[in-house]
Amino acid sequence: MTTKRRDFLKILGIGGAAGLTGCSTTAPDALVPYVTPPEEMVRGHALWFRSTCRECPAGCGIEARVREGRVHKVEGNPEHPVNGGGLCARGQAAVQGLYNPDRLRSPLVREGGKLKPVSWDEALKRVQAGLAGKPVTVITGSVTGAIEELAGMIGRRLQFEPIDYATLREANRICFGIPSLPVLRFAEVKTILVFGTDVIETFVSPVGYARGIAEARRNGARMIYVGSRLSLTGARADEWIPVQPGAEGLVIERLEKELPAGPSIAVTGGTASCDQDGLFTAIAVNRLNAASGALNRSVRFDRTSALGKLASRAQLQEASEAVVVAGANPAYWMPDLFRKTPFLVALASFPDETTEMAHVILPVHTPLESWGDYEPWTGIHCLQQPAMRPVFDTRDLGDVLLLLANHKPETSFREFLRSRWREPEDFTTALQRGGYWRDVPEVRAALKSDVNVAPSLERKPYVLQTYPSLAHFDGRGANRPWLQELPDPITQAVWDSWVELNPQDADVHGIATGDRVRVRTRHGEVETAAYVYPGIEPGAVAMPLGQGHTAFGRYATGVGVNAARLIGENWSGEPVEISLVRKAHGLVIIPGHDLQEGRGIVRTSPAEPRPEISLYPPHTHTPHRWAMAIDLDACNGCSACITACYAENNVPVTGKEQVGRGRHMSWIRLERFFGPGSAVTKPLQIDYAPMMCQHCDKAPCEPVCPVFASVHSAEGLNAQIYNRCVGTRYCANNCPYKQRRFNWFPGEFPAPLDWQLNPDVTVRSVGVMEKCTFCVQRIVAAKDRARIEGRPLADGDAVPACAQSCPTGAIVFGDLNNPASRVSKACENPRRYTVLEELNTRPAVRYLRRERRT
Amino acid sequence: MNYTSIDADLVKTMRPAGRAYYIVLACLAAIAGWGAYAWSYQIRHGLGVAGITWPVGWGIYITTFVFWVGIAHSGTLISAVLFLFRVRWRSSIYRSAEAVTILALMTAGLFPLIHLGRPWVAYWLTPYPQMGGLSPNFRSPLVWDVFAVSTYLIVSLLFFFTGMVPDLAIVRDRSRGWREKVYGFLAQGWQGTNRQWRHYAAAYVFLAGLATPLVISVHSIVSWDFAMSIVPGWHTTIFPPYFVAGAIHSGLAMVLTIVIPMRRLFGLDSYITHEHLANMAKLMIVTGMLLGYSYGVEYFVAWYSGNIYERSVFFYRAFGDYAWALWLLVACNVGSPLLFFFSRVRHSTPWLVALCLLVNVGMFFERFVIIVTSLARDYDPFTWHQYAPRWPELSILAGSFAWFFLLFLIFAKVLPVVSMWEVKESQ
Repeated sequence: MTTKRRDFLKILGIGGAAGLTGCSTTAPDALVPYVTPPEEMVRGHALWFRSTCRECPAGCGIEARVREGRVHKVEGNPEHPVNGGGLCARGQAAVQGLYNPDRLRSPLVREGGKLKPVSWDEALKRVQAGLAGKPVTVITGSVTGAIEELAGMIGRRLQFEPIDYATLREANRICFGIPSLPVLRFAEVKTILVFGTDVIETFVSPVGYARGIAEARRNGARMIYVGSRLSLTGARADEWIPVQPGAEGLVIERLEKELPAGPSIAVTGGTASCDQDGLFTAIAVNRLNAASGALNRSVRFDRTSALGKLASRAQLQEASEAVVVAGANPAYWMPDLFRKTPFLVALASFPDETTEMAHVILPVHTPLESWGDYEPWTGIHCLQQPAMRPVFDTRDLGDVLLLLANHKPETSFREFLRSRWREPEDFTTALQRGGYWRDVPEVRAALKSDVNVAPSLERKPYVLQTYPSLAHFDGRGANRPWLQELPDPITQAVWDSWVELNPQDADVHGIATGDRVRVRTRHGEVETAAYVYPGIEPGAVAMPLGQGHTAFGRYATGVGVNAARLIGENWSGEPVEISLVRKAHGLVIIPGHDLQEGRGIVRTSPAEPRPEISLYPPHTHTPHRWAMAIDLDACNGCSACITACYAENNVPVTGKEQVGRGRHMSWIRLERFFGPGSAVTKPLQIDYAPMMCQHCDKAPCEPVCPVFASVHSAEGLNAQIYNRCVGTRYCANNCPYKQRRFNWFPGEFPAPLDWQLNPDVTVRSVGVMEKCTFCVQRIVAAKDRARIEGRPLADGDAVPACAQSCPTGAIVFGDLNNPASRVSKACENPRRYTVLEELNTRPAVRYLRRERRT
Repeated sequence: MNYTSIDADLVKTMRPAGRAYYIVLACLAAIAGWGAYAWSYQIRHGLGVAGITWPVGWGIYITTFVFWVGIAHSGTLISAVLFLFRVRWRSSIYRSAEAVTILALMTAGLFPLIHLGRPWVAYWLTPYPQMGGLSPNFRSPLVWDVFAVSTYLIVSLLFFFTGMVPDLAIVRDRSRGWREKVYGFLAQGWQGTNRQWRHYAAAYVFLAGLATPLVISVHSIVSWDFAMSIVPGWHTTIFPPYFVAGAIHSGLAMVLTIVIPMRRLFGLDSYITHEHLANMAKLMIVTGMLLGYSYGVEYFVAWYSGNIYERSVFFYRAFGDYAWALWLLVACNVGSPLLFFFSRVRHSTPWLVALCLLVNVGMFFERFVIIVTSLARDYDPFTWHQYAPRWPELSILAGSFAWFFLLFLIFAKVLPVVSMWEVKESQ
């Protein structure tokens, strides 16, 4: 079956490659329905284009779903070695970059301090004149292949990524002589030691690593997290060993002795590697990996990361007369970087801090409209292709660089890219797969004997730790409303930044959650809201990065504060002063209580099974009985499912104020509970359960609806008939899981964000109730596909968006009537339970309890 | 007091009003108009402008609905039930009480519409014939509500009108011009013949018998809106009697609140005597104690059930964010009527008005506490969230009071507020 789908995709891929040959860079004058559609396009049928996600340097493979010439959704490429089908929230939100209403729409030239729109010819003339005869520096993000080569043709090329893992690369250079990052293979190990790294959130390749960790868990691995702040990765671990900020390296020796037999892996990075003792910790971890045998087995240098090529900040600061910034935003991190630059050209898709300083701005395509290639790991050669015609009058970054490089032989970047394709497989075939994965020779790294770095052991009363935010990464995701509205899994805050404090420290200053707090370091000061919780060690003060943009469109500008203003080279370990500005309720947090109060919502211990008692005969479900099983031991709270659901189901974004009032529209709520007793005893434990409509067999919402808007389908779905709903909200009151969402206001999709709307899903009107449908449109599409192909529906044909996106495969969906289906098997798992079983609602969503291994 | 003077005294209330009346009328109309504006604003911008939210999907609107339905209870109790029991003191009060019933229902009936997400399709709750064959869900208590409340309104209107026919004839006989025509039509050709009286008495007893079970059923069904759900704090068998007792309690309080100033303004002291008022106060002692018992049983059952959800909700009611409302309502509904044990309090109109106002406030908060606290704390702790009303809700609430009193003022000027024929009969 899967082969058939693959074939289908291949055919589409060929069609896509051929069809897009004629891509022009001019925007259409008028949008009219296709009278004679392009050959490969059938109205109502989705086309899939494989490409590479460029929302962070991880280089995950993606598939863009295109309907009638517009991209509606981005999903993970199941054949891709980096992410294997899953995709994180930021990757899912790439479409909101594509359709962002604040995108740059035409070239702009700065005249007398003001930006003036000009034609492309005029702008390019100015750029060419400005660059002629001067030493040029080209600053890009992490790139490889064609763009890297083109940048080199124009001038001195520098790759800038704010999250540059400099300490880790330095440690690897010292220890192994390889100044890059190794591949981490979690899947085969029995013990995972994490030293302050945000492996699941943003570290190097979070989707791939999350997948690896989940696989290791399925094989019985135990995970220990050492750190001063309970990050999402820390919450995922079986045990959190809290340490003083920066002291992660000091417990390594102890842990090494206690390390159980069997393969293990140790990882550091994140806050642990960003302070003055980061190098010590990183080297200690390298030694631990070498000693435990993890080196060359689960920590492998035969493929190294593209991030090995990043420039240092010192290199960036070397002045150049003319600078071209292409697809990067260094000014957000270093506001003074371009102050004295005589001629700055920004090739960008959005107005941002760098374009604010630029003399000429050339609007370029977003990655979903662009050609390109990227090799995140040696030999993993990913390709990027446009999934649709450009939304605005923008040009491909590669095309603009080609012009600036005065490179004649190829007329377009696509041809240039193709001419540079050196892999043994032909370009089109690789394009259909998403790239070419080449075998690499084995590299055996060996620990150098003379490695020794002493810890400084210097401890300060309060130190600042900044960390890249799960939703916004280094800030580039901040203009996506889905990501702004995505609750931070730890704090549950939205549309803001905050400072995390331990209750002890907060008491000293009289600070409570929501109060305005001034945070001051020697680099600067900011004022933001406090979040007080026991998941951070006393003495540590943590802030997420990525917010507080001064120019990044309507969704990001002025939201939160920029923690980068407080830090220098070291992201962590900066001495910090905190003081209360005023008492307030400033932080908008998803409403909810932190403790389970003994109600067994997210279970970590076995539940007493209850007999199913009813006076009524059971429902019969034909031909299918749809159900979902969510493995809480695999779920790590990454929230990818939430964003996938927004994209698939046209869920509106409501904004900060309305979220604060409880009007959050997300169909999936990631329930976060502090573990039993952890408010008083240390260390804190956090448990997660994604919760959507439970599709109860005996649904309390159904009998109370006065107009039959909430009804049970023959296949076990609890259906909501939007156009029948009158909006009494009785169903929501009666839902014990509180999974129904009411449209308090008309949903807003400012153009062209409305182009993203899934044509298969109704956009709900004001005043009606909505909720998870188990992606009924995808079930119907799968059935149609099976019928057209003349075969019965197979397990795995119908996959809701949440299950599709899940990087760890925690969500399994299928037919309970089919005893061989994966969901039927999962429901026989002894860890199985249903939430609030005593109510006898008989949910179709079954949970597999989380295990805390000791 | 002879028949002529009774007629003269009581028709006097219908004399053209003075300036003060119109000023008050205009003020009430302005407040009601502001409420209507708030509703139109809410329809224009979405229900989100109100404070109701997730998970508290019902707030001030449903509270107000239940409050006004409750107010509507005393009318039928006084006119029908006390009539069947041949309680003589009812005769001077029941017309006003019935007016309170009908006007309160006319106010209450607005709130299910106001709280709907899409009020323009509210008629879908009624079983009207249509081609799609769609029907309302007769398993839903909200549909029962539609029937219960509309039945109550229809029967109450019939009873109100029937009881007024002989009085309307008196008014007709004393009017000239177009008024005579209007009242003549309303009097339905009443001549006061022996035959008419015989039929009339039979019909009146019949209607009283029909109306009596409605006193019990309407508020029982309204209480099922809550009791039939699975929300902890709502799902309980005591709700129907508890709600009926509460409804009568609040209804009596509202009738007293209205009748006392009215009797003063219209000089009806000799018709609505202190004794009548004191009897109502005594009835309130009973209903107040019934309510106190219900409150106690609710808490006992919550504790005795051992159900953690029930216990948590009731603990939250007593000590959580809305604890002030709970203690306020207990003091108002159960505590204040106990003062009526003192004869001096019962016979003092200022005391009566003050305590009745307190009971009205208490009964409003009783519904508020039941609705809001249960929704704010149900099964899943991760969904716990508070509710606070916002300006549209408060405006519409104020508007509803203004609307009710506006209607009552109009009633007091166009229809006889005291039943002349029954006062004569009881002489």
